Amino acid sequence: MRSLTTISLSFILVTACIDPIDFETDSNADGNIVIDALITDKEESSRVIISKSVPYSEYVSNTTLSKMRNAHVVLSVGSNELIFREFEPGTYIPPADFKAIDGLEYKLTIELEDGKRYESDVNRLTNNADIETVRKDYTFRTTLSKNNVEVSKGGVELLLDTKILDDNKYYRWQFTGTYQIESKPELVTPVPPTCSGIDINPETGIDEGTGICTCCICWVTESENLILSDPSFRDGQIKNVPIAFIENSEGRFEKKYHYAIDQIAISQEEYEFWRAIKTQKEQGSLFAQQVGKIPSNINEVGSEQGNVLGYFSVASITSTSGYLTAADVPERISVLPTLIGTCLGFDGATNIKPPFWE
Amino acid sequence: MRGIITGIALLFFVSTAKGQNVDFRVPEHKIGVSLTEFLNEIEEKEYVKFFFLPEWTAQITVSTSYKDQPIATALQSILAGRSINIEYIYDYGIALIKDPTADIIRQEILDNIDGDLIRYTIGDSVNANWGSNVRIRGIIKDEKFNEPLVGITIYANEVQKGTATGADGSYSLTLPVGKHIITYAGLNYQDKNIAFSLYESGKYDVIMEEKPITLDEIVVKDNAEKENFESNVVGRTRITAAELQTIPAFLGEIDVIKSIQLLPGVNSVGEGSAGFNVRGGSVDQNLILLDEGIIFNPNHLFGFFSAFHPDALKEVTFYRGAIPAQYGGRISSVLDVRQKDGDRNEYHGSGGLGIVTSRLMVEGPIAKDKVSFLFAGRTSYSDWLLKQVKNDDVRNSEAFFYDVTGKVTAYINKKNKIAASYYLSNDKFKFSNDTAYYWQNHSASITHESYVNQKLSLFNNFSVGNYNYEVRDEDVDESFSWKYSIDNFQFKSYINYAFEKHLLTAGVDVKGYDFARGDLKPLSSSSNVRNIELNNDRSLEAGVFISDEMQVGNNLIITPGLRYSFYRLFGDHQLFKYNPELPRDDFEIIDTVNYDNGEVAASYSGLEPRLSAKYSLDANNFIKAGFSRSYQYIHLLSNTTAITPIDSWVPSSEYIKPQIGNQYSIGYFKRMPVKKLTASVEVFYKQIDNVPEYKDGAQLALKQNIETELVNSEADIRGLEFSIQKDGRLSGEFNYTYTSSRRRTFSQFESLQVNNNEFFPANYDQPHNIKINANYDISRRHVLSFNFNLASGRPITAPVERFEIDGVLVANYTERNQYRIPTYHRLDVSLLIRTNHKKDKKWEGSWSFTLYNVYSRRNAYSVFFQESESGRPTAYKLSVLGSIFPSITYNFKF
Repeated sequence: MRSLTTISLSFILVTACIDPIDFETDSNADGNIVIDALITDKEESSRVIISKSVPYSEYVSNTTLSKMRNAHVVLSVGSNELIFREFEPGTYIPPADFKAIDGLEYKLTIELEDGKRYESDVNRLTNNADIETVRKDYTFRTTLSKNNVEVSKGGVELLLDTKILDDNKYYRWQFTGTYQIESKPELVTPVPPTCSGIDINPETGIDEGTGICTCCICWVTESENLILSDPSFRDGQIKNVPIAFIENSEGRFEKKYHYAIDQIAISQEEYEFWRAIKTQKEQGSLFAQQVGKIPSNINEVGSEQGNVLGYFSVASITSTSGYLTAADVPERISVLPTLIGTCLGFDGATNIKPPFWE
Repeated sequence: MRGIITGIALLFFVSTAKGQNVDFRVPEHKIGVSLTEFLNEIEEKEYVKFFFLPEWTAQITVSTSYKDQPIATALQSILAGRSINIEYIYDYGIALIKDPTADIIRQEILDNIDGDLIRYTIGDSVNANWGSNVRIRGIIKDEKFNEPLVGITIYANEVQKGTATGADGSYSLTLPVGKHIITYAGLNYQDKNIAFSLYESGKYDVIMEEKPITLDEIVVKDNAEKENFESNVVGRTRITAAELQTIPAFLGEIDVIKSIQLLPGVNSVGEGSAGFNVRGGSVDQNLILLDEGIIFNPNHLFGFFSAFHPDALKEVTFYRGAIPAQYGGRISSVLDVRQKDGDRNEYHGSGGLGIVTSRLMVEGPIAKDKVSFLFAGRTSYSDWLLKQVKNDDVRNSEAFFYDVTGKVTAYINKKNKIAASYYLSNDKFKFSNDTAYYWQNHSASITHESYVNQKLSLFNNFSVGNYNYEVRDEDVDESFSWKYSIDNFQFKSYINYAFEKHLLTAGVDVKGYDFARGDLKPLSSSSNVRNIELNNDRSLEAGVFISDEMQVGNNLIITPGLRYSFYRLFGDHQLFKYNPELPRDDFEIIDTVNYDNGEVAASYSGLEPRLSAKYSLDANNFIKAGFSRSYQYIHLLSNTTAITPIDSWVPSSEYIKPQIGNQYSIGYFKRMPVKKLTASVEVFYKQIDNVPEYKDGAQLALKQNIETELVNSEADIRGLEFSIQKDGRLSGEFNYTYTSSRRRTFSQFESLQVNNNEFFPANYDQPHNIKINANYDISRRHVLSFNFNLASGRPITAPVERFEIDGVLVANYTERNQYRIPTYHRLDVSLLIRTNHKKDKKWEGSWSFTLYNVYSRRNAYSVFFQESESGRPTAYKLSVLGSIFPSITYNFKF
């Protein structure tokens, strides 16, 4: 009886469940033009990426196939025009010293190889507040594992306070975290990968390798680009924005952990764009809002269809970064078990040392 | 039962027997012994063999001497009135055969009686002169006025003999000595069934209780199923409290809203959704009244329970077709819930102990015969039980609700009754370490009913109410309280005047609303949340109405009605003017008009014709048709997957026009009395203007100029309802509904158009819906019930493509509601066990065992699309109830 009662009462939380299902949707096999345009007040961070959408549930591994090459990308700045060059397939960048300036009007015009033209609405820079502090709180989070077992994990929570700025309350934050991992590819048997610096000639049995391991040390990057301010928050100073929870696991704090936060001041319209995307990510609850079309501020010239996918953002960015170390972790540091193999096999890892890494 | 079967077997046996009959004269015998002893004694003395079942004969006493009479004459005299016949078996035997007819009739009557069957004995069985006739007489009076009633029929069911009261209310009926169930029935009075043991002539007076005033004047029995069938209003259903008892309920709770959802044309989008949809209409188009007070959210725990106390209910009347002229303000249906008046003579109570909730109702006199009270309360204790679960997420969640209701009824004099009732429902739900939701309904009403004379009655009601919700977050940095509230009052006054073949209803009603549309406050100085307070809105709607239910010729009853409603939105009100060349949004405000306190900021009015007709082809075949037009001046705005407690009602304004609905329906109703079947088929068409649709990505919460989030649309709804109902020991119904509920936006601006202004299915559209409900009386004490529900999956919007913006994967949703979630189906089983069945017991108890979702189907609440852990875009199904759900409730009555 006791167990029956208990089961019955916990029904809403325990019996509510989420299962993957097969769901066939129609898709536009040709794809639609997607324009991801970001113009900022920071040098070398402005870019326009032009691509084609892919069917929703189709798995596309090579994303460069969908990139649109040889487009003519022009940014109107007041009465001047700035031509972007194709830096890599589908990605167009302005001259190196370009940065957006407060008070000017920006408009993007794109002409594709097939002659189709796209124009954005006119956009201006939105004032950004400085970042006052980033606090590091060590906290614990309880989550339910897949088999309904409670797991409590400790980690560093980064909380951000802005400085006072009265006329904007729409922000988006980007978080990028980086940490170093080490592996032992030389222990791979029978033949270690050549990146280990060891290259045994099978005929002679002599090590002809360079002796330099290029896959023993890697840097793992994790990021979150969809942290939005809440417009019901006070104008002026925004405090305690939860930017990231960096779990004490997988050896994140074994050496040190680098965090970088970009605070992007955006317009109310752009905020609506990101909020619509965020709504998509927050499905799966009783109170989920219904999803709909994502707004855009770029139109195809002379087309009845109107908006294309994507957004032309003119944004002011304030950044901060720093390191977290073992000193920030008041409990036992999680240690990554010895990886036998190339460190590049680790999810999100690269062997190129980030420029900021000291 | 066994007796009847044996009797039939004997009958078969004897009917084959031919030949000379037994014939002798009764010898001297003992007197005052049972018939069994008598027959045994005769067997010993004469050459005869009697065939009989001792249980038939043991209770019959042989009280006089039959010496020297022929045996046949003697037995006929002894058995008179006992429904036992004699049959001869060749030349040596006599079989006593029980005639099953009377038993069958009796059982049928017993099956159909709701509530208590009164048993009454007239005379002494010792003095019974079996086989002779005796006379029962008496006077029948009205409960309210204590006046004699004319034209009440008195019908002895087994012998199929009846009479009616005369001008002085008296009656007299001659019946054979024996057992009779007599039914006293009268127009607008509750039937009274009395099981008489009639041994000698005697007197029996009856007090008839009036039925609640209804538009029906033809009421055959207090059996809502029959009444619904014969109702003169198309699409009207009445459910009595007794009928609610046997419907399998989630967690064993008797539930009005869930019972309504068993009817054809009534759907809900599934577990966890508040509200119900009637004939393709939206949730806000249902007017829910409790003792005339408006209830905005009749749900506990996101619709898992309805917020009406089951023991306090007298009856529930539900209009989904032609809505009578006296109701206004909502388009699709009226759910008129009436609470009982407390018993003014005796104290009673009832209640239930369940695993989630417990409830209690007590009633009784305050001043005997003059003033009565009723108090009922229910509370969940799930919160306590959640704490027992060894899981932090569950333990830290809180779900708690209660409701209380009270009613005081004063019988001022024979013709006037005043009743005051109060209702409160309260809910709290808090997710683990997260936001807490609170919602509350209050309603207080005072009703005066005056029966001026047999023809004229007057009805006045004044009610005030409030619905409010609060969302609260205690998190230090984001602590906030968000409150929403609607105050309302309603005054309603009307008369019913019956003359010749007319029942005239005429009156007025006035409703006032005060919307506190949103107030967001930080709960501490360290909170980031800023204060947002939306302007309050006040509105008033009023109506005058008249209708006449009239008999035209022998076969036609028509009820034309007319309602005129008007609406005012009052200041303080801020009216934003937008650039007409562009879609309305915050950037396109070109002017603001301020209306001062009391100034009229918007006004609308309209005529609402109503018509209902019933044509009787014969006693068992009817055609009913109806038309109703309704204006709806307040709207519930929601763009969540399903209706939640924190969706907001808004009044009509310059930009949000009143919804205007026209409904046409026609149906054919057939009764097959022999098979105890009724069947009906109805078709309907409903067209609604000015339905507020939301634009893509609409942000409805805490938005002052909410018109920027909405787009005007039209609803086009058509459907068919098919229903078969069976009465008897195995009773139940099969309902099938087809509905197509579509919307179409009207906007010149492409960004506001939904699906290019073409028709698309409404969010809750479920075209096919099958409901099967069956109750089997295993015995008088055991009722087994099944409930099966199947509905097409409701529509969703699915992504067709995806792309990346700044590293974020974005799905592109294009056409709204073009896909459907999987079909919903569910089977529930319940067993009701009454612990005793004796009417004179002081305590009646019953156990209700329910299995909800018997085969553990994980019905989809929604389907959504997200990247899986491996980053692959995947479709997921959210199910609210993932397993079978057992429950036990003990219900009692004293």
